[in-house]
Amino acid sequence: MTHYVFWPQHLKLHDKKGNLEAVAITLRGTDHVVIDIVPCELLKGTLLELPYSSIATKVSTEWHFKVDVYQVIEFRAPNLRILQFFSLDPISLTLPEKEIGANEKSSVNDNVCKLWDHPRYQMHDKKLRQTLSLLNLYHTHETAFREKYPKLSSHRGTLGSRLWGSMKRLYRVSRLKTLVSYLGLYLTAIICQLALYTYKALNWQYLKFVNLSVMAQQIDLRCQQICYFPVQYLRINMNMTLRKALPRFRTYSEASANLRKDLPSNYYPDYIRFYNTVWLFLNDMSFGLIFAAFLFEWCDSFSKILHRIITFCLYDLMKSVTISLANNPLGIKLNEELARFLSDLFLWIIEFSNTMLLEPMANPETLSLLLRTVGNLGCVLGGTFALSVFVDYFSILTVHVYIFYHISSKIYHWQISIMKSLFYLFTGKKRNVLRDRIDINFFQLDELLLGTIFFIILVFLTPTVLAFYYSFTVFRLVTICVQIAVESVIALLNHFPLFALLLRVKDPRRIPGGISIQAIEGPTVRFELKNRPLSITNMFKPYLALIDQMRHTYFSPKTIKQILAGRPFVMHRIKLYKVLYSSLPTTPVEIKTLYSQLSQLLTSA
Amino acid sequence: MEHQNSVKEPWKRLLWIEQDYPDNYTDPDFIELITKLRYKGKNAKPSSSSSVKEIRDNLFNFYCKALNTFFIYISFTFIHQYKVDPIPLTVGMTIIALCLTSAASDNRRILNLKSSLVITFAMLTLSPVLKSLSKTTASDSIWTFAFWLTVAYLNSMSTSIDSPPLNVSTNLLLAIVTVLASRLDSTTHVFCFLLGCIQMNIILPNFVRLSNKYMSIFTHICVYGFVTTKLDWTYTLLLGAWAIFYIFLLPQWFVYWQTYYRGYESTLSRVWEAQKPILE
Amino acid sequence: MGYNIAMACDFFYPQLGGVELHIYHLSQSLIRLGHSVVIITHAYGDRVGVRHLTNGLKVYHVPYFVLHRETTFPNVFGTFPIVRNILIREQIQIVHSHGSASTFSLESIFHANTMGLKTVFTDHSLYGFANITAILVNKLLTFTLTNTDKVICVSNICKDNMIVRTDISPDRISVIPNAVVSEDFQPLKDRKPSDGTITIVVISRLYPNKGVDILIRLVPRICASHDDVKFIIAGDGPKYVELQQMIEACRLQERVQLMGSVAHEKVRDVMCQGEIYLHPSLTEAFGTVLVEAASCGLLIVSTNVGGIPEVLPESMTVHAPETSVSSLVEATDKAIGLIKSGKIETSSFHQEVSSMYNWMNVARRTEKVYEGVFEDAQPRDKNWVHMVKRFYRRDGSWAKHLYVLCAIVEYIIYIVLEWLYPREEVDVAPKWPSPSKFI
Repeated sequence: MTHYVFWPQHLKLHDKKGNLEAVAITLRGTDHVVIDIVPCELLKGTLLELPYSSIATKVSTEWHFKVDVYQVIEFRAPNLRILQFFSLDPISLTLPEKEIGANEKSSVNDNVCKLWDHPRYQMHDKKLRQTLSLLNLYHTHETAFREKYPKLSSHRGTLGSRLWGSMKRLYRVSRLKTLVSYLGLYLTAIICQLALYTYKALNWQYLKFVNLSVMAQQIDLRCQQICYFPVQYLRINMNMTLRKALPRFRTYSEASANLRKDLPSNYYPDYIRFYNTVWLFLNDMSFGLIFAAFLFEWCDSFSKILHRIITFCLYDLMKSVTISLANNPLGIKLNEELARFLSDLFLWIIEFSNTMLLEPMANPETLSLLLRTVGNLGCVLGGTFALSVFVDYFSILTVHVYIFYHISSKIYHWQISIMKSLFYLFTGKKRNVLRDRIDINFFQLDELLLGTIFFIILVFLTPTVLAFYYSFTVFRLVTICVQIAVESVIALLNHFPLFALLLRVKDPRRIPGGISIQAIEGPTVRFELKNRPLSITNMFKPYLALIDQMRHTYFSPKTIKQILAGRPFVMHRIKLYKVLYSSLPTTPVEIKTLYSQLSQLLTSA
Repeated sequence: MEHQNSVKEPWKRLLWIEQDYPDNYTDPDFIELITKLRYKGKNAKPSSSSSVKEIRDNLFNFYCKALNTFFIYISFTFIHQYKVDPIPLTVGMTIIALCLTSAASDNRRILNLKSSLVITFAMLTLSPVLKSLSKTTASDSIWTFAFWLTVAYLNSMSTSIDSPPLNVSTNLLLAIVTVLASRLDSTTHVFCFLLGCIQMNIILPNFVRLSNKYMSIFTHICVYGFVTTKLDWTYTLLLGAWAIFYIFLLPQWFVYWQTYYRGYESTLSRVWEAQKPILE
Repeated sequence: MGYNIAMACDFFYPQLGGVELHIYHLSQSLIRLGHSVVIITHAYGDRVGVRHLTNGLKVYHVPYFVLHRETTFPNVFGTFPIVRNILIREQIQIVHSHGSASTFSLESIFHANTMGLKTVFTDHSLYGFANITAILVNKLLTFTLTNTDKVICVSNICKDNMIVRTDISPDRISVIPNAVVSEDFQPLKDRKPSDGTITIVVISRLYPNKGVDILIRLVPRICASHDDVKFIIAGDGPKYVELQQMIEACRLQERVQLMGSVAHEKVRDVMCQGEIYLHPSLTEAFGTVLVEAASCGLLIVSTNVGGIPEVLPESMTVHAPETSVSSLVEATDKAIGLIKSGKIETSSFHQEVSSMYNWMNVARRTEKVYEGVFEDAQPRDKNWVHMVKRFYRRDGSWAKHLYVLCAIVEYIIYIVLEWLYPREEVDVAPKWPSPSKFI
């Protein structure tokens, strides 16, 4: 069996002359990881205990390994303090329980799954994972080794770091620290509690405002984020303290067991998510400011133009289309009575909505007031709020389009379903609701005749209903498209993985998406363990999923089928944006459950 | 060799026994049969007189049904163009239909009193709707539409004698009536027209065989008389010529084709075709 | 030394039916006789490319557009490049196609003839002449079989049908019946002592041509006249609802069990629950299911259509002379009487059937057909000019010109393919070692 020896690259650098010995740490279920290189003379007096052992000796220039078959894999020791680490799987930017593509798993071939479950594969996989977590804690183990065998090491801390450490210690013992911590704690508790109440009000079970208004949804999102902050903070810092403690293991097995607890990949995504949210907050604010400045500048001319557009699209155009539908549109001869009835009905609704909604809400004065309010709101709360007010305003203005669509789709749907059941009648069948199947049935002549007369009437009325239904469906689709466009912009502003992207540019080793082992050019066969940064597609996964879902809901054959069958298609806003809430828990965490832990963390230590 | 052949068992048409014959041995009876049939196929006479008669009966029946649809147009013309009051005629026909229904035995009775009343009242209620359904359409389009609907209606009818009207043809008939009804003057006319058409084309064929002697003579007199008076005698001649070709020449030709061009296949095919289930 | 044989058909595993199992068992037996067999079929779902089955039976699943009920889209030339490649790669000598409704098998024969290979065709079904589908299939088959060396039919009636349909010389057609793996259809070893009830089993796809209409009327009549008779009906199809309605209308839920479709490996277990197997089919070329039922020790009640009278001896069957309800009821009554009186001993059926039908016998007879192909071969048989001449001598005046046109286009395509993808550049697949060497 080949022994893999992991060799940190910085040890090669001060590869001194003379007889040297490489000390490696080997825990249960890991490969050998070289901890330090010490001169042979120093090692002579000391007895190395497990898990430490001497893996190789260097006589003159050649390294001689104490295992028969070996393979050296070089690596750059990750610096955990600046959050570098190795990971086999791409780190997840979403919460694990909300991982999208849970259904993707099923598309993986069964045979591949079987292969994964095979013990041999499992063993290899487990060993690699264990070794990687050992590598991630490399510096901690290095320090532990030096503390245990002080005379073997030649390493000393710098003066600056020692000075900084003593200053921190000074701060910790002073009163100032306690005061600041308590103040912070109470403030956090109050804000979180307020956010929780707001969240509950918006998600009132009898009337979910979140489903109705984009503005409410935006507030809801912010509240949830605020409620989640303490949890994230807690997670990051709890782990931080755990990690700082040196692995002071007494026995071999204790050390091996310790390995599993402190994996950076457990808390690290929280760190990224936390800062991503904070960054987006600030980003949103700056957008809001720019937007507001723009609005204040052009307020008057904007309101005039908007007034004209709204009056034309939502009143004049609708009215002319409805009137033309009653009078043989495009030369198609519709049923006059029904067409006139429907068009009268719709015209009445148009006039009503004009006097009740459009005139008071879309005159230039109201509009300019609205624009100013939106600008102010944008300054204070961010650009997304400004945009969401626009969307809400738009959906209130187009409420009559929604009503038209709803009425015509209901009529159409009734007609289609009646015609379907009458069609069964003609083929001598009937639907058996009890057993949910289509039975064969013999109908009497009078049943047939009556059915036929109704069928014929419905057939002749179909073009009229169709004309109304399809024209109003087109209107409805246009309004939905507008809403979707603005809402996607809001979603982008809310969930853009800004922090992760910047991190990837700054230090790819801090955002691991897997590992690769590459051969190094040279006289002997050597490999290097490298970190692969998370791919950009992976970062945008929730967003891509959102686009995919939108396409599936609004622009797929399913939609066309739905329209043809006359089933109403409504926007399930919550369902649509569920993917984007993937970095938040389903229900916000209540602050009182965290309070004791939080206070402990802040005040002690 | 001679000796062996005499001992050899005769070939049997069975698969479950091993026989002392090669696998490509062919049933001599079958060979004989097809050579005979092939020979006969080239100079055969119409296979049997009964089949010609059967085909002709079917065709004649269909022809009578087609003539019967003329009544739609005859009554329409009378109501629409000559402004004849349709009420007495409809009342008369309804009485005849009622008499026929009550005289018919129980299993042939397709309408009882209750359901016929329901239908009548439903039609009475729906007549104004039927009248207005295609009102906006221009008359030319209505005529064209009615013509094509009639063609479809004729195509949808079954040729066999005893089968009740199919649902599709009932539908098409009502479609024709609805289309034409929009040209009528009043709701009463629409109702009478609708009722009359249903009685003539749906209820009547259930009691009276349209191809029986008196009925067909009556239909012929009505239709040919109507065509002659309304159009011209050339049209009558044309119609008559077409009818003669259809009833007398077409079956002959069909049988000729069957025997000459499909030869022995049609004679033998009953063996391999899926058998007709006899469901008594 | 054995032949290199390619079996071509649209229907193969994972679909399970008569033709599929026939191809599989025949191939396995031929492999055991020392031949090398590959199967060419179209792709089923994600089953694309080459698969190996037991004894190195190689299956090529060619990705192709499936039209209707697993039949590929017919276009005469479309499969030529890939089929040619496979035939060269596997060094095929004989192409053996199955099923006249399968475009894949017909096209493969045409391509193999063009390439000068020997061709054999097996037909499994009967076709009439009265409907448009049958006429089309017959024309296509006439075209394909013009230059085919030998034809195998599964029963004598099938052979008669083939002679009339395609007008080929009777001595080119051999009759080799289907077989069953009798070990898979054994009667129950320890049968429960009967409590006097008799169970009648029906296993059939519920289509009109399987006589389901007769069955629907027969079941209530039998149930009314015998209190101790039960039915088990397995299978699915468009007539399923009508059967359900019949059961509900006659309140026979206690006595008639509708099982829906049953997996092929479960068929034996279903059959073993009964004493009588009822087969009301209206058309049948061979009726493998009858042999299977008899092998399970069931008394067969059947209509007398197609190849059914040839398949089993009179002692195992009660035939209804007509395809009418009353005739079948009479036959069923007779069978119930036979079972009740104990006049018939069904326990010996299994042994008898296993001596009548086995796949090794079928394979040996098929091998003889292959040998015949080479013995009777004339050098000019696969000469292009000669083949075109034969096409010209076939069928009606319109059809023959179309045939000739198709043939000429095919030859041009062949020349183009030889130029584009030369024969020498095709890798030859190594052969799986024959299992006969190890026995």
